[in-house]
Amino acid sequence: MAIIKYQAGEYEAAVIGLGHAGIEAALALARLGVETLAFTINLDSVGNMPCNPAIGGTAKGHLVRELDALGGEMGKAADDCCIEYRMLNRGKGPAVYSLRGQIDRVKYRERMKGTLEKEKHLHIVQAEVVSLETEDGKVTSVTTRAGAVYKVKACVICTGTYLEGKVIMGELSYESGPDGLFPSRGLSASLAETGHTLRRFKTGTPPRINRNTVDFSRMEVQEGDKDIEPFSFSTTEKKENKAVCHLVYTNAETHRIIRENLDRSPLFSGAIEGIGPRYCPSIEDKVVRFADKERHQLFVEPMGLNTDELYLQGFSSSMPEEIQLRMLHSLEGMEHAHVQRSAYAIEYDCVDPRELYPTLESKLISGLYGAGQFNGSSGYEEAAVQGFVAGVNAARKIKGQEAFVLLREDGYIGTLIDDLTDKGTNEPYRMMTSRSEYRLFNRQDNADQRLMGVGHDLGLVSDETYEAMLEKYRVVDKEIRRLETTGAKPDEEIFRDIAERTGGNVNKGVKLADLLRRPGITYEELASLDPERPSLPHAVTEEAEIAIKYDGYIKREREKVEKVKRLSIRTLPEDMDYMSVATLRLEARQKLQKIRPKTIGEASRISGVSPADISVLLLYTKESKDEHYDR
Amino acid sequence: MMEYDLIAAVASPEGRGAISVIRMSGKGCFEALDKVFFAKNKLPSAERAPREMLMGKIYAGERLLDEGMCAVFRKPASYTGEDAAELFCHGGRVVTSEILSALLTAGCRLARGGEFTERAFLNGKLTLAAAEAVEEIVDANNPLYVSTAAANLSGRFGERIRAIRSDLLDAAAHYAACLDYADEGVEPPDPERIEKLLIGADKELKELRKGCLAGKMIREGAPVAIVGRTNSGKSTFLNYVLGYERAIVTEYAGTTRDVIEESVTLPGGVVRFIDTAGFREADDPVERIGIEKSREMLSRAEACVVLFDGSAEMGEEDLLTARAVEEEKSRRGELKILKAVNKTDKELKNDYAALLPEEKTYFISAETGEGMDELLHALGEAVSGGVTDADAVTNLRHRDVILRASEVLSATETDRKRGMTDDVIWSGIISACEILGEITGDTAKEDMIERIFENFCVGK
Repeated sequence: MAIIKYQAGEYEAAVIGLGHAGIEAALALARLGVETLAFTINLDSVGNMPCNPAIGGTAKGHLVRELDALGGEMGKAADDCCIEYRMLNRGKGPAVYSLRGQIDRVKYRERMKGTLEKEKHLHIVQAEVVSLETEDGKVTSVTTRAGAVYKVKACVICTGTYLEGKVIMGELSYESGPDGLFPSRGLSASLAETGHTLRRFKTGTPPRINRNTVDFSRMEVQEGDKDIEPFSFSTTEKKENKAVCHLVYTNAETHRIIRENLDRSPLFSGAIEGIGPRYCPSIEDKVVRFADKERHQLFVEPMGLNTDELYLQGFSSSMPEEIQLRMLHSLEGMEHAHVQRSAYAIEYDCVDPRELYPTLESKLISGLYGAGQFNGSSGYEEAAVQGFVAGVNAARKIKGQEAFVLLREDGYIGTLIDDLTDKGTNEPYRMMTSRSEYRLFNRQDNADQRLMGVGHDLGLVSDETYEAMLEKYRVVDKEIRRLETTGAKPDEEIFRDIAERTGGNVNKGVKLADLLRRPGITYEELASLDPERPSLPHAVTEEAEIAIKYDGYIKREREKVEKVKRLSIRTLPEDMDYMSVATLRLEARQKLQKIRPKTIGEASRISGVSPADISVLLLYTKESKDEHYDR
Repeated sequence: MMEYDLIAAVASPEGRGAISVIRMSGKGCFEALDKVFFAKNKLPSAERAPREMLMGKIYAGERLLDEGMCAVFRKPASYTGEDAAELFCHGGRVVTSEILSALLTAGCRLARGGEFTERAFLNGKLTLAAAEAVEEIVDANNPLYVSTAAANLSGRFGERIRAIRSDLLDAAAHYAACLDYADEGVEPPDPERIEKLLIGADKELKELRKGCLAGKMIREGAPVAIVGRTNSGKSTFLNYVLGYERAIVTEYAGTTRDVIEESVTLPGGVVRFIDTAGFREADDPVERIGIEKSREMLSRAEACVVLFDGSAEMGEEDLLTARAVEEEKSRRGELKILKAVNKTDKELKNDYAALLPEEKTYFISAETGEGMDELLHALGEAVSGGVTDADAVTNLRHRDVILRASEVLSATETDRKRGMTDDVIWSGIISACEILGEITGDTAKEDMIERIFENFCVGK
C-alpha cells in the first residue's frame, strides 16, 4: 500500500543522521539560533562508534582540538567519556604530537544524546529520511519513510556508512547499516535526480571479543600517559586513566590461514566494488601486499567500563565468519577467544566532494550540505569537523550572513575541506599530518590561539572562554620575554653537561632562552638554573617553550604561506578549454576541465596537477603585453 | 592541440646576409603563404609535400619581390606543432622586411620574441626544461655553452635531479609513515639509513653546485688574472691565446663569433682574462692605486697565470708579484696558479725556481707557441674544476633550485646531527623535495603519501 504523506511541520534546517558529523551540525545550527530537526535511524545509536572505540590519533587529535577551539562538542564529550589517554609522538616534536583516547562508547552515546536533547532550538527524532525535495535548485522539504513531510530551508546530509549500506562477509552480503542497524534507502535516488554523482566507497571493521575468554598474560600491556592532557581547552578537572590496551601479533599460522582462503575473500574475488582506504587495509590485504612481513601488530582495546567487549584493532576483515574464527584463534592468547561480533566490510554511497563548495554546500542545490563519510572522508574526527563547518554555514546562509570558510593555512580543518572539495578523493579520506604544509605552525597545542577568536566571532565560544584564552597567551608572551632577558644561574656542572650534549660552549651570562633553543634542552630541566621561575600551568610553559625553540622554523613556514598567497591570487580564464592544452599532462587536463579552478592557487592544489602544469598555466595567464617576457 | 593565431617573424639575424629566413606558424598558415609565395610546380601549399624545399616567386600583391625557396610543415610535425612554413629569400634588410610586410598584409601577426618556442612548449612539443634549453642555445655566446645546453636538453640533468629527489622522498616517506602512524608499529627511521640518504643527496647536490659554478664559468667565462712584471710577455701571451682560440673555433664548422673583450674558449672552459697593472713598490699615490687595483683583480680571479721572463734576471718586481700571488692564495686557502717561465726561444738566464716553489713550472714561448698547448690545457682544466661539459648547469632557474635545495638540506642535516626533533627534520626533507620538484615538475606531498602506502604496512 502506498504511504500517505502528511505535512508534519516546518523547521529552518534538517540534519540527516546523528553520527559524529550530524551531532556537530545539529548543535552548531541550534546554538546559532536556527530551529533544527535532526533525524536518526536509531536514537540509541546517536554518536555511535561502529569501529574503533577511540577518538583522536595522529592528525585526528589536531582536528578535535581545532574543533574544540571553534566551539564544537566532540572534545568535551571525549573528555567526559575517555578511559585512557595517550599523547602520541611525544619526543618527536610538537608538530606531530597527537592526542588519542580510548572512549567508553556506550557512555559517549548517552552523553551526546543528552546534550542534543537539552539544546534549545533542536529537536531529534528517530525516523528515516527517504527523499529530499527541491524547487528551483533549492532545498524545500524532506520526507520520512512514514510519510512525514517537513518543510526546511537547509538540509545537512550526514549519512555515514548507512546510505544504501551493504555488509559483506565472505560470500555473504546483505543490505545493512553498521552495527546491525538499518541502512538508509531511497535518499540516494533523490540525490542522483538532483544531478549529484554518487560513488561507492568501502570500509571495514574487525571482530569484537569477550575479555573473559582472552589470556592477557601472554600479551604486552600498553598503559596510558602519566601526565594527562585533555582534549578540550575548557576541561579543567583532573583526568585519570581507567583502562589499558594490549598488544598482540599475527603469526605464520594466521598468515597461512589467510593465504589458503584468499579465494573466499570478497576483496580478491571481486565481490566488493567499493573503493577501500589504503591506510585502513584489512588483515588479508596486509598479508598479501606485504608478503615479507612475518607478523603484524594488533591492539586489543576496551569498548567501555561497563562491558567486557574488546575491539581488535588491525584485524579488520571481510573473510567468511568461519575463516575469521580460525584466524583469530591462531593468535597468541586468543586461542579460545569468544567472538561477540564478527568482522565485516561495509559499502555505502557517497558524493563526489568536488560537487561541494568549501562551505560544504552543494554546487548543484542551494541549501543542501554534506558532511562526513557522505563527503568521502573516513573517521569520526574528520566527520565531526565537517559537520560543524556545514552546520555553521547552513545557519549563516539562513540568516543571510557571509560564508564561513577555513583555509589550508588556518589549520587541519581548512586543509581537509580544501583537499576534499578542491582535489576530491579516490578513497575514503583520512587526515594525516603529511597532508598539511604548515605543520610547524598549525599544531594541536596552539589550536586555541589560532581558532578560538574565529569561534568567538561565530558566536559559538563564550566571552569567558575567549577571554581566558587571551589571558593564557598574555602570560605566555610574558614568560617568553622573561626567558629571553633572564640570564641562567651559573652552574659549572650543568653548563658543562649542556655543552657536551648539544655541542658548543655555554658561557656565563647566557640567557635562558638561548639554552632552551638548543636541541634536547627542555624548559623543565632548566628549573635549577632559573630560581626566579614563576609557577605556571603546563599549557603556558609548553607554548613558551615551543615558541622559543621553534621560532626560526615557524617563521620560515609563515614566509612560505605568504608566497603561496601571492601566487594564488592569479586568476584563470573562465572559458579556458583545458583539454586542448597539449602541454598539460592528460590527468591534469581532465582534472582542470572538471574542477575549473578560479585561480592558480586552487589549480596548484589539485592532485594530479604538477608544478610543471602550473608553469603552463602561468604562461597562459600572463598578459600578452608582458614586457618582461623576452624569450 | 590548441590552434593559435598566425604569426610570422624574421628568424635570421637582422642585417645583410646571403639568405634571410622568415618563419610563420598558426591557423591559416598555408592560405596566407599562398598569397605571397608561388611555387614553380604551381601546387598550393596545403597540397605540397611537407618539409620539401621548393623554388618559387615571392610577391607583394602584383609586385614581384624576390625569388626564393620555401618548405611547409603540417601539424603536428613541425617545430611549433602547428601548420608552419619557412621562407628563404635573399638576404638584405629591404627585401626581407618587404616580404615580412607582405605576409603581415596576408593575415599574419608579427611574433613576439620566443613565441615560436612558447607555442612548441604549449603544444607539448618541448618540455619546459627543453624550452629553456632552446632559449639558452639561442642566447649562447660560445660553442661550449651550446653543447652544455644541449646536454641539459637530453635529460641527463633531469635524471640526476630525479634520483636525488627519489632518495629524499624515501627518507621523507619513512618519517611520514612513522609519525603519521605513530601507534601502528612502524619502525622509526633508521638513523644510519637516513644519514646515508641525506648525505648522499647533499653530496650529489654539492656536485651539481660545482656544475652550477662551472655553468656560470661557461656562461660568463672564468676570470683569470695574468700577472707578471712589465716585459714578461703578457701581451704576446694574450695575442697567442686569441689565435689559439680561433683555431679551435674553426672545428665548429660555420661558427664565427666576435671576440668580446679578452674572453676565449679553451678546451675545458671559457676564460675571461684580466690584465693587471703589476706589483711594484710605489711611492707615487697614482701608481699605488694601480697596484691596489691589481690586488683586487687578483682577488676576483678563479685562476692566475704568473709570467716570468726567462731571458732576464729575477727582479724586485718578480718577487713582489710572487708575494702578492702567495698572499692571495693563503688568504682564500686555494688559488689555482699556473707559473710560466716565458721566452724559451731565447737564452734561459733564470728558471725562477726560487719563486712560487710549490707550483709546477711551465716553460713556454708565447712567441713561437712552444709549451703553450700544455699550459692552456692545464688552465682550461683548472677553471672547469674537473667538471665535464655535460655536468655543467647553465640554466639560471636550475641553478637557483639546486642552490636552494642544497642549502635547505645542509641545514636539515645539521639540525638532525644536533638532535632537533623529527618534525623539523621531516619538514626540511620535504622542503628540499618540493624545491627539486620545481625542476622535475612533481609535487612532494602526493608522491610521499603514495610511497608510504607502497612501502609501509600501515593502517589499523
